[in-house]
Amino acid sequence: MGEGLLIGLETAFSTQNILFVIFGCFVGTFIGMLPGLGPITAIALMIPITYGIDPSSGMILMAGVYYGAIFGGSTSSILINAPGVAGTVATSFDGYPMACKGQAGKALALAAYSSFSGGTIAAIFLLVAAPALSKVSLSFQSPDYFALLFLGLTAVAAFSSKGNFLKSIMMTLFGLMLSTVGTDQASGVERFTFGQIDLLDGISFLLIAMSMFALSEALMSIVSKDDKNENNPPTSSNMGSLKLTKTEIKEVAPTVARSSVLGFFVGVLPGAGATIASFLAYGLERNLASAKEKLKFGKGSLRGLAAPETANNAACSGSFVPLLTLGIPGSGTTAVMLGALMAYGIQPGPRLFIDNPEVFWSVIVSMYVGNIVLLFINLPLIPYIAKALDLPKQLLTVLILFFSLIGVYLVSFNAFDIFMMAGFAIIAIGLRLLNFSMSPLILGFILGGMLEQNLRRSMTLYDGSVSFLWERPITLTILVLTVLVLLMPLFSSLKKSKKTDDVREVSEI
Amino acid sequence: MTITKDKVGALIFFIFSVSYGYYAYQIPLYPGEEYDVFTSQSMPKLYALAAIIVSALAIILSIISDLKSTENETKQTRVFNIKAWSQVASLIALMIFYGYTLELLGFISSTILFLIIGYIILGERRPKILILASVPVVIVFWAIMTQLLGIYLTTGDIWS
Repeated sequence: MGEGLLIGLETAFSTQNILFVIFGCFVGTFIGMLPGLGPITAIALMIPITYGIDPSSGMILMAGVYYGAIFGGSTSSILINAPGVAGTVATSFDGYPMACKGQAGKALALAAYSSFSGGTIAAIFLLVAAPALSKVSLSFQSPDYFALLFLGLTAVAAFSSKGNFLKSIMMTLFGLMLSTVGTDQASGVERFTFGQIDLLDGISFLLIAMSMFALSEALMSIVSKDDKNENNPPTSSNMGSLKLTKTEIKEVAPTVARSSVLGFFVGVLPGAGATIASFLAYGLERNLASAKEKLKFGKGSLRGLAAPETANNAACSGSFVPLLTLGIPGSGTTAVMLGALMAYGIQPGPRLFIDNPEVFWSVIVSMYVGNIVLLFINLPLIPYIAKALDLPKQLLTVLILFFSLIGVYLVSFNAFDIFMMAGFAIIAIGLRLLNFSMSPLILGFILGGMLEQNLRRSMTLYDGSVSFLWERPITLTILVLTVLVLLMPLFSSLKKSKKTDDVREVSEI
Repeated sequence: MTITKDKVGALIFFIFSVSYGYYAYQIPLYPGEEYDVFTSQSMPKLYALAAIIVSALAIILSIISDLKSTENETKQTRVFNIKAWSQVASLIALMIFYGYTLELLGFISSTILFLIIGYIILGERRPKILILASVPVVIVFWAIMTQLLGIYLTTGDIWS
């Protein structure tokens, strides 16, 4: 581990890579701040740039963009009550009331300190957990991978917001279906190409990510821009003091510690991510607070702001654990990163730690660097970065469309991709209007190929039988876990409907 | 029974899954491959089956929840912003137009055109802003790509 860490330090602290982290954090903060645009868009927009640089620098850049986007989301949550990212919705509960009271500076500073602490504590966990898990996962075989992928795909649906379970499953399946387009890698047979030569290679993941996220988010922002907060200009000129008092720090310190641990472990779970972590941490703090403290929640409580902010950053680091050790992304954002890694010809998984130690370790080390950049460079510059929110929306939207289109075109040099993007943007807008979420789709799309490959290999190993499902203890354990995860929302909805029935009966009496 | 977003979504997905399943059966197999346990058709068929089951379940569940909650039905009235939607439609058309012009007019001309028309669609009318937010952006981007990174950008069939 020591040697690996040194490689990581050496790579992450090269001048070029430090510049990449700084650049990534800035761009991420900027994009994350724009309401409606999330970290997936921010990362997707960076991918064409990273193709020109080496894999570890590319990953470092993307990791920087990821934190930056989450941090930027907090800024817009606090300043204008318009979270740019789902993971920072809980931040606005107490952050915005603080800003309304003229404590925007304090809220932003607390958000930055909490993010820094959460990210740093989680990065230490990652440092220990990732190599250990990597070693364990070396004993994993195709059947176990198949089961793990299956778990990842179902978990993302199970952890989705209430009532969206079936919708998320549908989106996962849609992603899986899209992944079957093109030439079958094993047999060389064409599938769903309908005679189109341009579809022989399948649909590129970048195209799907760009059109389903960047394009559709930018286009939807035109429709939803009148909804709210349009007449609430950012209060960048009146931020108040950035300082926290000693008693305030003492008050939030235990919250930060608790939320870091919670956030990290939630982040490690496949399917759960920053959003769930932040809500759970907020809920936990409210439950732990005294009756008097509880009243402050939602009205500008420091603990209420520190908890989700710490947890969402810790979860970001946590979500790298399954990505780096098993090659299975835990969230839509890490799924996009997985796609980028595979485009480099690097297969994340237990071998990554052995084959490409510089990528593995430099990503972990760059997380510290990223957190430091956010705290010491981004925070003081927030009043200026917040000016980005004043930029004319009409210019920004068109520029995002341009960068998305040209980003995909620069990889394939095929105008057909631009037409396909327009088509997928239309589909994505339709799906968004019908309240479908896009993250399960991208996860299904990226994991589809691996799922098929591992199932095929497992069945070949077991002479065409599916007995591996119950013969291998690891596989069986993971599958049992999957069934439990699948049944969880079913139970909770049954419980809920029983409760409402009871209420109805009582009211009828 | 009312038509809800959930029902429409599930129904569309059901139809999509059925047609996907139909085409899954049309995937050609090599001679003898039909005797294999796992073929190129296997996964698509599995996905189609799962998708049909899930979407059918979603339709049934939304009908049941409809029947249960008929008493407190609230009519959702959503303001349809025609102006915003026509802007979205125009931008999508503009993207397709960009796809056609990119290789014909070359990167610089087609992108400047794309940006200016895009800004106009979204309501920007000041000529100074239109020019300043398009020409320098494109030139700088072109310079970075071609001169700095050595990436070829199409010069346009029409000019050569």
